[in-house]
Amino acid sequence: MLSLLLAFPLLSAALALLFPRRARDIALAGALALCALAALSLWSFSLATKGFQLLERIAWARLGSVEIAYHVGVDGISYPMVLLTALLTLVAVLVSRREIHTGEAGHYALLMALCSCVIGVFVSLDLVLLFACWEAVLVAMFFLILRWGASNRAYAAMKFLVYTGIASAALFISLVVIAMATGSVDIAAMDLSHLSPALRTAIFALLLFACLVKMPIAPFHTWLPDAHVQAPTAGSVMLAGVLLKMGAYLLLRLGVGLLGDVVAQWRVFLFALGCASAIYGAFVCLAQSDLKRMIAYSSVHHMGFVLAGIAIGSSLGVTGAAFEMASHGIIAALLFALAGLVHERTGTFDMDALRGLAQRMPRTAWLLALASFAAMGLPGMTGFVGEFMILVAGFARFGPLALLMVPAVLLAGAYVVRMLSRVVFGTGTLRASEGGASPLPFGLLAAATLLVGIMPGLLIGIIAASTLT
Amino acid sequence: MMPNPPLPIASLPPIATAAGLLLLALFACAILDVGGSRKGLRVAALAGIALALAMALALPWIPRAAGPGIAHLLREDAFARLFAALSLTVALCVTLAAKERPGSYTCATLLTALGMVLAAAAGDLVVLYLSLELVTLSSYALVAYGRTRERMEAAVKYFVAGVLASALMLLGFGLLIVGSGTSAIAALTLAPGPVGLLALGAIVAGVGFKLGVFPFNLWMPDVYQASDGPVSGLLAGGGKNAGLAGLLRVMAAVALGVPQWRIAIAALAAVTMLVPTVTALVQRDARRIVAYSVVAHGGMALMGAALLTPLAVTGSLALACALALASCGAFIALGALASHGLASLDELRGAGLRNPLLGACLTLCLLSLAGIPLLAGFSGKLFLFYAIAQDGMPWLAGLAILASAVSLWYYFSIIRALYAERGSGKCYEVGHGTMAALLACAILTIVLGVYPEPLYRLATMAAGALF
Repeated sequence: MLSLLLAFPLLSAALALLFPRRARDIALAGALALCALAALSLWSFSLATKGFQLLERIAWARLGSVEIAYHVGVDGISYPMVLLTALLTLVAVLVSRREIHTGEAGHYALLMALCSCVIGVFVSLDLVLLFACWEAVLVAMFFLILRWGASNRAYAAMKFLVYTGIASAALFISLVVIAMATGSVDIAAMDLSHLSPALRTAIFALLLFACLVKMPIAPFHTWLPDAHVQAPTAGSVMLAGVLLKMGAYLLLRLGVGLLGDVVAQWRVFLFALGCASAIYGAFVCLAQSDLKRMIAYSSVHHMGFVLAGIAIGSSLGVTGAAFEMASHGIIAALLFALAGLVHERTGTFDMDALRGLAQRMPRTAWLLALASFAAMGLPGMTGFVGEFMILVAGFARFGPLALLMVPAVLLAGAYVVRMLSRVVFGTGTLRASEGGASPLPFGLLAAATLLVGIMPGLLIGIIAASTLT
Repeated sequence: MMPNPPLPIASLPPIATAAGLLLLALFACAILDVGGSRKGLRVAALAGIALALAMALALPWIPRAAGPGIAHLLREDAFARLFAALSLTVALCVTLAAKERPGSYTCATLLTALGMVLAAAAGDLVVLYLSLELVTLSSYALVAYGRTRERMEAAVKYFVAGVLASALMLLGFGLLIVGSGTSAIAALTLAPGPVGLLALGAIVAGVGFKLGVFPFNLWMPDVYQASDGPVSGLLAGGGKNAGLAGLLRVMAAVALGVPQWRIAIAALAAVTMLVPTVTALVQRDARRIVAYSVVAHGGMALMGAALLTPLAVTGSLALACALALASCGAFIALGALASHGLASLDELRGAGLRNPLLGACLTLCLLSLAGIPLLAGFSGKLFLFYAIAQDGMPWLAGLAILASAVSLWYYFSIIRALYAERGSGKCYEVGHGTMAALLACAILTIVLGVYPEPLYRLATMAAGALF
């Protein structure tokens, strides 16, 4: 099942290259098929299984005595991410149809390959396979930004590459250390508990660095606004929606999963770092005049919450973090897709120039309001559930220290209201219309926002299969 | 009933046969060149190399014949086979790419390939010396091909450095032969004291000249940058590895019991991979950047010679094979671009978009050199870095990973130039031969990246044959 999910996008990428004139339709068909497959896989996913399921394993190569395998499987933490990737790939293909006009075949092939590699990161149960997919994601996103980005794209692509490349080197070192120390790279069967505390701390520090850059957490976040602002809309959707989650996922999988006691030692530090990043991200959002840049920084804000949830480490905190990852994926994708549409119709991301959007593009404006409220954490939408779980878990774990999270929550409201008051409401001289835009990508994401917000049990059920003790 | 007699082919010693086939092809080419048949010459050369390659590769499946009387001169082992296969694959690509070149060019390529095959199989110091000289001498001519000012200058530099290296190598070999009373590599012993150290030092310098060991690598960037694309490809993919093979053979014979050498070679390897990596960061010529990276990769391969454990040597061999194809492909593509006046990063702007297939192959080769997973370069680096860390020098592996991470910047600055903008240049065409060679390099790079097991197995067998 999982191999099909990996192979389908790759197949459509190859087909798109072979038939460049039909590339966009091939990609759409591939994305639709992927979503259908992902939906089908819901039936084979068992909520009663705590560990990994849907396993597949084929021997791949040997490094001396270390056996590398193509080993895939999912659990409650990775499975929602796989579903999210499938959904966002469809959205990314749909929003590309109006935006991408040069080198279509290459764009869709890269997008589908990217999707395959991201799913690969989430389902890999072999460290080498995971690293291979992790790097491939980096390269695919580099090309998406470099080739189809905005005017300053070369700079943004190189900056993205340098930051995440250094993170990858840290991840690679920790991979080699783990392979040396345990003689195995199989995540499902890995046991790091017999290693010396110093080695465990070193491995965790390397992993943590890689994840913090990727998530990103301040002060390692400066690649993110450039990459986001310069990337094409589809790139931003994937970047914010799923690529940032790779860091958080790895921290959950290898950090909490295998080095739980080190995480516990570093708990207060990580929690404070997460909260600081969330507060910092929110403050920077308040200072932006560029809509896309503001949305980009809101990712720093939300990923700060995710880190806080991971740091809390209780089953409620981890569930909250995993929930927040999925929910932010949906919301950020919706925000970026809307920003892309607004830019396509108005030619600007400048908030002052966009004043009065509700008069010219009412549906877009209301969707923007909906997505923003979801990002702010309004009850009834997905954003609320994850943050609420993290808040409750935080107070249960840390007591008064958890008050650190309060300004982060409040500031989210502030930057959202500021943005909405400037962009959506008020009267301006904007000339634009929203006719002709396909409502499908926006409708899908808005529906997902509301559905998961109103019935969070659907998602919590999947996550809790693995996180409940 | 009598058992079937073995097939006649089975009784042929593969390396000697491959060398014979190359010689045969060389004679055929020389005659055809005089006769003026360009097409026949190409066919003869390609057929000769392909047959020799088949001979080298097919050996595991053919029962080993007892070697003829020269077995002590030419070792028919897995180590020789791996390098023969590697050199001949590179030579095949180069010959494919050199379609428009004169017959003498092809003949020199064949002669270089012959030298590379013999160097890896050498069982005797004299054979090793002669075959390395064969590689060097025939490639002087190749470097000077075209006789532009730049190439003549590069050839002279190469020559002067090469003569010095030959002298050092002779000195080292001579001291070894005197000290151990034989020239057979397997029976060599290292004299204790300063004489032994001098011998080993001279050998590391002289043989390391081919591999590009610091500081005997100053000629490399100039030569790789100025030469015709296929020539740079041949030197980077094959000539360099002939040096590695020779060095490993001698080191495995004499340096195993000398622990203080481990740290010296390790330091040399570290300097060899770090200095060019930093130097490459400020270069603006794409071929020069790749040249520096090839030197750095030579330093990485040297790490195996520092540790001299089966695992570490396997890693070195895997890396050398994995990167040979990528560097050969990169030089062929960049050479083709340079012949259209596109050499510096500024001139290369948008070049990848104007010829998508060439751009894609070049990008794949560069990504492989950068060590991006699912390409051969990553397979090699993964094994090598793991092996070095596992067998006792984690700090060296750490430095190699650092060098590898830094190298991302300059590979990607070439890729950035290729794709960032359309550029103002006009469209350009490259020959079918060049395209075929590039595709071969790119496809092999992907295959060995996705499924590295054959590479690992051959390298393990080859390393096993050394000890």
